[in-house]
Amino acid sequence: MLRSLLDPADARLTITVDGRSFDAHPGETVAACLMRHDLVPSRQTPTGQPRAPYCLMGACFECTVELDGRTNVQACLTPVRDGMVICRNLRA
Amino acid sequence: MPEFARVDPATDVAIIGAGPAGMAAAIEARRHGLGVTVLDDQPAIGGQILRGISHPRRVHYEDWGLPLATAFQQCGAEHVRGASVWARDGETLVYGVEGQTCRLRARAVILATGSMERPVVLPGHTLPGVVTVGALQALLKGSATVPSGRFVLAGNGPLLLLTALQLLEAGAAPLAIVDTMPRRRFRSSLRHAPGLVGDPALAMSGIKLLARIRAARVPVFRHATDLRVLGADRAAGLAFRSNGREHQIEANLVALHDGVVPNDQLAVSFGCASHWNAETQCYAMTTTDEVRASVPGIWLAGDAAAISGGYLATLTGKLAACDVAHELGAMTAKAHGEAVAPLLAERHRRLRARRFVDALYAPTLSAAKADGTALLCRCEEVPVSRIRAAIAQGATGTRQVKAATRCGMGPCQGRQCTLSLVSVLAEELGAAVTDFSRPSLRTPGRPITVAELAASHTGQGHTGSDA
Repeated sequence: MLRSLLDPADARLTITVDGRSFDAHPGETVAACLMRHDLVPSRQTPTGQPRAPYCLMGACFECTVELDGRTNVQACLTPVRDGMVICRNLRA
Repeated sequence: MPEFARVDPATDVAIIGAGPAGMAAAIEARRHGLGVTVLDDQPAIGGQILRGISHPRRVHYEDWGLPLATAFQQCGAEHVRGASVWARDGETLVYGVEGQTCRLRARAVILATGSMERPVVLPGHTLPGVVTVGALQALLKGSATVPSGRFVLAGNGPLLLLTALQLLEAGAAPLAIVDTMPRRRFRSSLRHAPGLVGDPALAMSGIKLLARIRAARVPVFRHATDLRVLGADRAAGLAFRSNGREHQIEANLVALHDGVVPNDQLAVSFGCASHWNAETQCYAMTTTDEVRASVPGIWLAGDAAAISGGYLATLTGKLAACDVAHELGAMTAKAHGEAVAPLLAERHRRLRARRFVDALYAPTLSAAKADGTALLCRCEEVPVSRIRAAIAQGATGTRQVKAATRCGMGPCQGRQCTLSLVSVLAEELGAAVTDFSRPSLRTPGRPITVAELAASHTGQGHTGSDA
């Protein structure tokens, strides 16, 4: 649903989402990176409804993920870092 | 014995938010020799309107933006990125940075937390692939990403038009703009048009913006109503009525917008009073001398108090900093009076122009008229119909609805549902919003872990962070 305006060769960082590796641009947020790789939903509600980043400025708490073992991290406020491990904890 | 007793690092002024208001306040406070720490939850300075200004810039910013950002970076204020404040414990602010709990003692606090988009309630708005228009702008400015497929912008407001133009310039053209401004709105707003002389630049930038959108030939569907997002597990398009006809546009990204409102969650959780503003149909913080909150030691600057836009936010940022400098003895009464007079005069002149903009872009997608299936509370998944049922069963205020439905009790702590809730209450009971108390907010203003809470404990002098 999103594409980067940057040179793909500059996507030199790697993040892991649910055990798979994805490239990331320095400076982009985790939420932007998830959307760029079409990794939505990024979470499910307690009743199993799919959700994804919505406001991208920290107000709605829809983009929360498990990040490096910390839960409920707002992906839109977090810049990517090489080697980050993200779990969406999606149920089938 | 107080095992964890410690002295918190101290500063003269803590400013929360590094947007136009916060940066202007920091620069001014530093001019008077005060120590300043700016806590901001975003990855970089700029707030929303100047997001991305400190690194390779993707959009054109207003002329005052870059000089402000440069002056801020050189002013000597300490800037803490990714700092999310969640409590005020006496003179001490408690905040988290990547899960670490930090404390900062400050003699004065300036809240410059900016604005957020007015929550929109319509069927399907929680599906993946639905974002706010401001989200698309943030993705462009902050992360250099733009929509890659079929996308539409729907709603009403200057930010929608500005974002459309910025996306066009970045090479991402929307399929259509679905404009929800009602018929006759322009004509009914004209009574405020004389105020535009107070800010000719604002009027000119609006006219230029509209002309450039028109020149780009993006299809515009006017007076749209009955919006609903199509799709089961993710957005597949947008359906709506326009000029008496049903329309459906296939899209994998739908961006919604209905204006902006103060991002005042933190101020309210600190106990600062607010009141309903019927003209803008949202709450505004209650202030004296424009910038003093109802709680001693707290000042408000910029859109956090009431929406007036980025440039005016720089004026209230300066005003707040002057007031703090005077209060802390860093500025004489005479110097203070001389400094604030021109700031107030300019602010009041430009505010007259705002009234036309506020009237023209008043909200259009009120939850009061929303389809019952639409989720009013995103976090707790409460549809509008359940709120209406609670009211029909006797709930007469925000507290009863909250207790009956859990509306507002999720992670966002009411940021995304309070305005919708009070509008539904007013509609269903035939009352005014002022008849209902604003839902209260308690510390912490965001979800924190037990470990974070435990780490906020200091032993001696600790009064409880839910004070």
